[in-house]
Amino acid sequence: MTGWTAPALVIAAWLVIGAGVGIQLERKGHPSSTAISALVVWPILMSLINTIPTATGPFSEAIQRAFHSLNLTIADPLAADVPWSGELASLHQSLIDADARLAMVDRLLSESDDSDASKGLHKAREHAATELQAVLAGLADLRIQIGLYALEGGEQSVQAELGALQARARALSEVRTTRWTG
Amino acid sequence: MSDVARLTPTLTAPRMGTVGTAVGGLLLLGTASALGTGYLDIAVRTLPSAIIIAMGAAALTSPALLVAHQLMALKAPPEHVVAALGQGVVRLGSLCAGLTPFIAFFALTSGLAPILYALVLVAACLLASLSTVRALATLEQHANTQITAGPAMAVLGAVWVGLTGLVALRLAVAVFAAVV
Amino acid sequence: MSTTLLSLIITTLRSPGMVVDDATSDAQTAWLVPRLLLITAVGGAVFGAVVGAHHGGIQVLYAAIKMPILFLVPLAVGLPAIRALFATDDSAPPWRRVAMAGLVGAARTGILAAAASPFLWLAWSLFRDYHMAILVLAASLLVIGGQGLLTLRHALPKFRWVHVAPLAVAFVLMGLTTAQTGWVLRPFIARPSAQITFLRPIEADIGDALLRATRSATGDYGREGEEWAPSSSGLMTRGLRGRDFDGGE
Repeated sequence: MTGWTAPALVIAAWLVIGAGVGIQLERKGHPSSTAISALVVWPILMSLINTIPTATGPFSEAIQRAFHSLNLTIADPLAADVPWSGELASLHQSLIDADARLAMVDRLLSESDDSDASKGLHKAREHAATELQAVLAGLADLRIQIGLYALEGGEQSVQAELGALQARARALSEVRTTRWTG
Repeated sequence: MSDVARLTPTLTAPRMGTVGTAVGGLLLLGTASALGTGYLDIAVRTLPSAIIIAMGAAALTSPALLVAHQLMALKAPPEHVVAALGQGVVRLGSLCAGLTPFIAFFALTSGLAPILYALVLVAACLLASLSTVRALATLEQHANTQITAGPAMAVLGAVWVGLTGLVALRLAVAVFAAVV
Repeated sequence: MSTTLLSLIITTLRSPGMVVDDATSDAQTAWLVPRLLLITAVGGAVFGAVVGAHHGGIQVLYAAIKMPILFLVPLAVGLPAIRALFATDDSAPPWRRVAMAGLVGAARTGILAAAASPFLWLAWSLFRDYHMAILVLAASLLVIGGQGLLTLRHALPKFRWVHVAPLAVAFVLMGLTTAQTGWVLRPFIARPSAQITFLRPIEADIGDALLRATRSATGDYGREGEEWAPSSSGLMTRGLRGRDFDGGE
């Protein structure tokens, strides 16, 4: 078709690069939907080639749900001046990390026999899972504190709640560090 | 005079690599425009046109700015003025690199590329000049205790930009005649 | 943070800036990109199908395929320029943030386009005239696309007066690119008598076409017997081709 040769070559080159990026993403373990998207928007996804996707743990959906609700609460103009100071992002990351560790332990447990070491690992896993669930429940309480803050003020209670949650989340990784370092 | 120490802007001349990237940006824009000409000989002559027009105008008129700066006894160190001019060229180069896909798209799909190329080059030069004049005015303001120093530099910068624009236009006419 | 497609659609409409903010981590980007593309594709396809319904038949399918492309191509062409326009001497807006803002804008456009489709369908029954339909489509795209374009502000530095000039240039660039993409991908609304094709040869440009559509819509069809033919290229090439035909100089 008249005049389409050069644009067709550019489109073909775009798709070839996209296919290459998609294949790389697939090899790195990214979901197929992400790899297929690379055909169209490879410039955005190219940076993901060098990252290994975080394992999705048993609580990943619960974590995403909890933070989605919390973000919607923060987005409300009435809660606009809630004192945040950016701690929420680190709390989120701590929980994602803890969830990824649980996923790894689950994989190990599914491959191991009924030895004493396995039982110990299973017990530790249950403890970590309970702690993680407690932090998630705390996030629901934090939303209530924000509601109270919007009505009555008192930023200390919101910060105290957030501080307590961060301490619990930190404890999840500190226990791990202690164990590894002996 | 205020007791509070004023912050001096840290202005250093761009490194050769950065200037090389800027030249690359200008070359890329010329290449994109060359795609739209449809003839190899014209495309080859179009390639360096952005470099010749923009860098040529900057090289021809920068000494005049430095001379006028000294003549008006403005206080900013000349090396800082040179650095600000260098940053302006780098800004122009990165702008041209960003505008390359736009010109390439029109070169591939329409006959508008030469007109848009000229318009885009003028717009990029104007934006880079504005940012350079702003940087020069800030520089002078920080180097001087007189409150009128910044505006004086801004006026000098504006006049310089106007004259540089005319020189660039003259170069563009010469380049167009050589290309076509 | 969105966890389902529905919540992503809601957040994209209510607070698109939050979706752009969410895409800071690699994991979230990998989750968001395919879903935003899906929303753009489905929304654009629905709108395109309605646009194609003006002519009917296979044009419904053709327009449904091409409309999402119309939403995405301007991003690839215009975003590098917008990023460069808002770069300062020592920093530029993060590339991923600009790209994600563009993608969120495209998804927002897709959702709005799908929602506006029934009204466009209604308009087709009011404006059967081909040229008027093109102007209605251009106006709808201007309104819908404008909303998507505004999403880009979430990736740009906080507004200051020095940003007026780059903003004006950015709007002109995106407008021109979208219009030209639409022209290249035509026909969306095929002429009643035209033979339907997926794409037409690349000829003339959008400025020429809009001028002609406006004149025709106002009943100015030019001199009797004079048929409009698209010019094959622009200033430089047209002049040179003329020189070549004359035997060169």
